[in-house]
Amino acid sequence: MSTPDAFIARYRRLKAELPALEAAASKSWRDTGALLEAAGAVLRRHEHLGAVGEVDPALRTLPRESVQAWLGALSERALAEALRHAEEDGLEAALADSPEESELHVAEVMGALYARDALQSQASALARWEILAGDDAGPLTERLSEQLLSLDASHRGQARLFVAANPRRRAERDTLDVAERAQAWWFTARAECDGLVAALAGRRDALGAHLDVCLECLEDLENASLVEAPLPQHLDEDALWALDMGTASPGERARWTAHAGHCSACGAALEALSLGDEAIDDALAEEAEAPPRQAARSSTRSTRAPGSARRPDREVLEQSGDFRLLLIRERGTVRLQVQPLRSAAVASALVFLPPGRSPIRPRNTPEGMDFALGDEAGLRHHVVAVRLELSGTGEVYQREFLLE
Amino acid sequence: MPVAPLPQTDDALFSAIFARRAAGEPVGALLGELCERWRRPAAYVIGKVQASYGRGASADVDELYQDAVGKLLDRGLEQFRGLSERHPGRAASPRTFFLRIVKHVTIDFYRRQREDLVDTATEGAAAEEPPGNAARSMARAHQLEAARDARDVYRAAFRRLTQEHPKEAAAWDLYHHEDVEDHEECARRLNISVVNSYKRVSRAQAYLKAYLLELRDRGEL
Repeated sequence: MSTPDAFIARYRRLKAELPALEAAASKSWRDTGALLEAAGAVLRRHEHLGAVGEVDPALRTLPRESVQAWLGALSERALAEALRHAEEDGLEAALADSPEESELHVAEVMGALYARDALQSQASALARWEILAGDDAGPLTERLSEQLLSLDASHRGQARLFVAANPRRRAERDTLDVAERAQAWWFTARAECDGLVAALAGRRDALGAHLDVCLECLEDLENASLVEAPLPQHLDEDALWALDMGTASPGERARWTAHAGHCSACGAALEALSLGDEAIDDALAEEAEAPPRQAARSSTRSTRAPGSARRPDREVLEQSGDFRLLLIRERGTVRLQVQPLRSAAVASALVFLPPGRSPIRPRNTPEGMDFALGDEAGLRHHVVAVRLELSGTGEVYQREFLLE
Repeated sequence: MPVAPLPQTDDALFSAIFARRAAGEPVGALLGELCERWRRPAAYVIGKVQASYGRGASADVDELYQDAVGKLLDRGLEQFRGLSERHPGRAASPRTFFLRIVKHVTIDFYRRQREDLVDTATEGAAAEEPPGNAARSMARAHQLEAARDARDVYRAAFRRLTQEHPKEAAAWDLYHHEDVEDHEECARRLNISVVNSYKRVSRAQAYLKAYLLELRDRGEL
């Protein structure tokens, strides 16, 4: 592929600017960095730029303290952050709705990749400067190389996200001397994998014949296939935990509760989960009622009048011709009771404490369906969600209550 | 020799155990005290779950309790901290969190027993154990562990999607997790156009795969 003139022209300009940069190089660490960047960029592209005899004289003028000041001021963290943003922009560029939107993100990506390339040029110039200074061991270069190695290790694999910028990356790659290209992953890695992000989005055909020759793309698609894999049918240990702790997404919750409706093993597990919750609430309530082990431990219960703790406190939350909804506080625990006011008035009742915990299984009592919500103190400022489906009309009653 | 007083509250004791463990110091005495404090409520929870599975084997209580303590030590702090940070309020107190572990260990134990019974019945109760059974069990255990790791990483990727691209996450949740897999229905339920539903699901897939590959590059899968 021929190198577009516009890309190599940038480095021709830098080469021409070397004398001016040399003159200003000792003024500040930024000026030192600018000279090193220009010198290194030219050195790394001498196959295109021809003789680079002006580089050595320019580097010789750099005092050691200026070089050390520049090296001390380098911020890898800023570059790492820029590369991280470039990864996000790369994804957005590939998934953009319009070429204009994509172009904006590509510009951001290229900005970060140019910053990484500039640092590589500075590292090359630094190595040359150390040789010219008679320090062939290159301790400063070694120090910088170690920092770059660590930076690259975290970002190199993410080059897959830069594919929307590939036409420019390829053009930049081709400005580099052949020996430089393998190291310059920011311009070269995945530079031919243009359709990769589209393929990750489900359009595998976007990679076309490239997939026949690119092992990396094949591996990426294979390794990412887990996303589309059918989900486990049954509720496993993790699913139960996610339901219990409220970390399941609404879709997962719906899927699992629907499955448990027709799978006896999973239904039993959900029921055990609910019974276990009741048991935990009971155990904690019992401990709260027990004489305190330490004088420092206190509870709201201790401030109540003797005997009052055992008297159920009932509050009517809702009453219609079909049902009555009661909140019952008793022995430090809270229950919600759905009392049908006519025969089979309530077809189904669902109560849960959003966003966490599994739907609470009711206990059928002579008064109605009883839902144990848990420990009173622990439920303060929690929301309880109720969904009732009334028989006959099929009307749905749905409300949330804040427990004060 | 000076004797340090035991932390008074469960929370303080819990924190002290994990601080010592992180520092590589012995935790036996503190753990013993905490186990003693939590044994009774744990046994109660185990009993209730046992009853829900129609079991009453008191012999299992100690084993299940030890298993739960082991899980608390292995993954407990990380999980407890993770939950507390990501979802303030859901992890409740360390004791409630531990009792939840007890509950899950017990459910898992009896569920596996029940599934084993189903497997045995399906394969034929009279069949003798094949000679390579142990090797197969081990391979199965490895497969299960790998599958569990994969699910963990998938969930981490989905969590990130939910945080960074909630609209795409909601579309994916409906389309894939809830098995709707019909863009007209997704569009209706999300109150968006069908074209948007396609776009969001497709973008969600790309984000999730990119996150998954990143986690894999970092050696987390």
